[in-house]
Amino acid sequence: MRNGQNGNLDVKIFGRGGDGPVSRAAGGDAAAMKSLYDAHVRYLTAVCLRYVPSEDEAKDVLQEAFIKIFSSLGTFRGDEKALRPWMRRIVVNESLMYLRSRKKDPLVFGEDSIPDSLPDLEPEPEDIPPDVLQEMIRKLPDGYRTIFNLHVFEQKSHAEIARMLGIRENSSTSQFYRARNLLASMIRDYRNAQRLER
Amino acid sequence: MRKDWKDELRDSLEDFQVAEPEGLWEAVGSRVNAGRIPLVRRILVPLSVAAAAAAALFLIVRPAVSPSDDAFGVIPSGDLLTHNSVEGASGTSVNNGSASSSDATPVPNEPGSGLLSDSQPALDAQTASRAEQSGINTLVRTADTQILPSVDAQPEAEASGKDDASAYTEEKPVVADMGEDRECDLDEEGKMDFEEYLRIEGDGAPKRSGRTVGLMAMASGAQKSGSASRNYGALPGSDIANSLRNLSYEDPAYKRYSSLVASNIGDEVSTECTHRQPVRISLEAEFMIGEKLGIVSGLAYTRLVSDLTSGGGNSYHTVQKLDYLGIPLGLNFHMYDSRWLKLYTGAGAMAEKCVSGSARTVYSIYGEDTRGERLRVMDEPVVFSLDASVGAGIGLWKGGSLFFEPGLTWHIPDGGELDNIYRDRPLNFSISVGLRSEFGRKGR
Repeated sequence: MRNGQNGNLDVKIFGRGGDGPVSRAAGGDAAAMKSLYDAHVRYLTAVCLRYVPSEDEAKDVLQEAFIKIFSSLGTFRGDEKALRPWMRRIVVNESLMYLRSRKKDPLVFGEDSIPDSLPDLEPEPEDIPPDVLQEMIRKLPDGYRTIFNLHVFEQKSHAEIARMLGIRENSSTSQFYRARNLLASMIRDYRNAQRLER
Repeated sequence: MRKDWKDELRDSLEDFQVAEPEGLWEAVGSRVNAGRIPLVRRILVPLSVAAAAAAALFLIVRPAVSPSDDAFGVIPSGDLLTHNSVEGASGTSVNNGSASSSDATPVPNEPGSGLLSDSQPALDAQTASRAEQSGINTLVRTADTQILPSVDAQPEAEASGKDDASAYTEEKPVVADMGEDRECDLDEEGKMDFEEYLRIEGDGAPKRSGRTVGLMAMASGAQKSGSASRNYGALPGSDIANSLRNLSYEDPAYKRYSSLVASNIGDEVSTECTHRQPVRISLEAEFMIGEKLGIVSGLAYTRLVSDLTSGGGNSYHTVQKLDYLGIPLGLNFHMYDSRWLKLYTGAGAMAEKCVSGSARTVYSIYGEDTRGERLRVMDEPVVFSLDASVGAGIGLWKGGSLFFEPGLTWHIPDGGELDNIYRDRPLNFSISVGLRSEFGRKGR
């Protein structure tokens, strides 16, 4: 922790050879960090809330995620377009770790937790407002929601999900189908309610 | 052709945004304080072998060598090492993955402030030389991400040293671990899989590391031998290391660590670990075979103390204390014997077992010291050693003497998990003091 001969510490600000906000934020520029934060926080909040529906818990997860984002910016090598997916990945990982660390709410429901009495439906999300879809996904049971998000939004296969979550592949498949059916039912109920209002 | 419903859903929510939780930036911003990090001067005083010998003599009057817990209470803010430390090393700035020179070639997984790295720059010659001169095991472990042993640690050693930053970079990282290099699984984007992320972060299954434990997400890669680290580090068994294994967001140690890392953004960070020279205190009996040769055995107590300091402008300091009881067995050859003075050489072996231990960390963030929880630490295996020494005894009563034995001891590698001087420097200078009673010699 010593620099040079005089024994003083220097606080060194590192540049990455560029002037953009990522470079400046990586170098510790607080204004640049805030700029990046403002540009992406609402998107990342939406992503996080799909995994961690409680706003208080999502705040904790997002806080940790942003710390990691800012800490890791120095090693980010992509361009500005790759930044959002990169940040998203961090938020998703932090969300999953948080869900995993919760003792009281298992990450994945047991297969018998939800009765299998729903019809086999596929959701029809076209023309459903995004905020409504978001709320429907947040209302899915915890375990189903996690698998649903990983399969649909992160495009993980059931084999990958099973490995990630420590479950069997057919458990991932069946829980995904139950989530899908639940979502389809919610969408159907929403459409019916809309028609009645008209 | 109708679009697949999953594609519809993804497209619909692709750019969907919601208002962030209230107070989020304030919570983040308070931990990200780049540009306002206070400068901290550290004055590190080398401990020399001569000082250890002087301490050994002091032991004749007072047995304690290691600091009392009260020492933590009086550590001034931002100046953790004023009473015991070794001289640190200068280092190039490696924060945030960039070298200090602006045109430096970006190094994959280069250590940064809180960045995991799997490739560690070599210790500069100045520090290595200083470490050698100090006569102390100025070992500097870097952080690797591998999880530390608990008291009931698992038997398998697994890979460590994964770079968390590499989870998010485009370079293909290499996992540096205890025994083999493994590449992590990468998806088609060249990014690390969540499974790897969990493995690196700690998925709850305790893993072993005989090295200083790395700090997830923010610390850096494995160091294969004692040298200065330019990244965060932790002693296995410390609260930081435990917090990384458990990954509990409610864990105060994890929160303190995260705060500290965020507060050091933009600052140089490094880790230094020092194992203090142990002194053994013994009660022994010597059974004479003839006039010059004696067989010695008894009971010996040794305390091993290790200090680790890690961070930059804000830092934490862990002190680990391990108490061993051992049974020595040796042969002494008496070169000179009188009523009041004995001079002899000896060789022997010892079996020691750790009977108690603790680790405690003090966090210093923006001038405020917070003491972490004292954790129980236990070194599991029985430690065997061989030694050779010269000794002097001062006769205190008929057949009894106070002895002082400097020598060399070699601790047989045992695969234990904790970092201590026995493992870091198996062949080491040793000092034993104690009382010995002689039997079987006539006329004395």
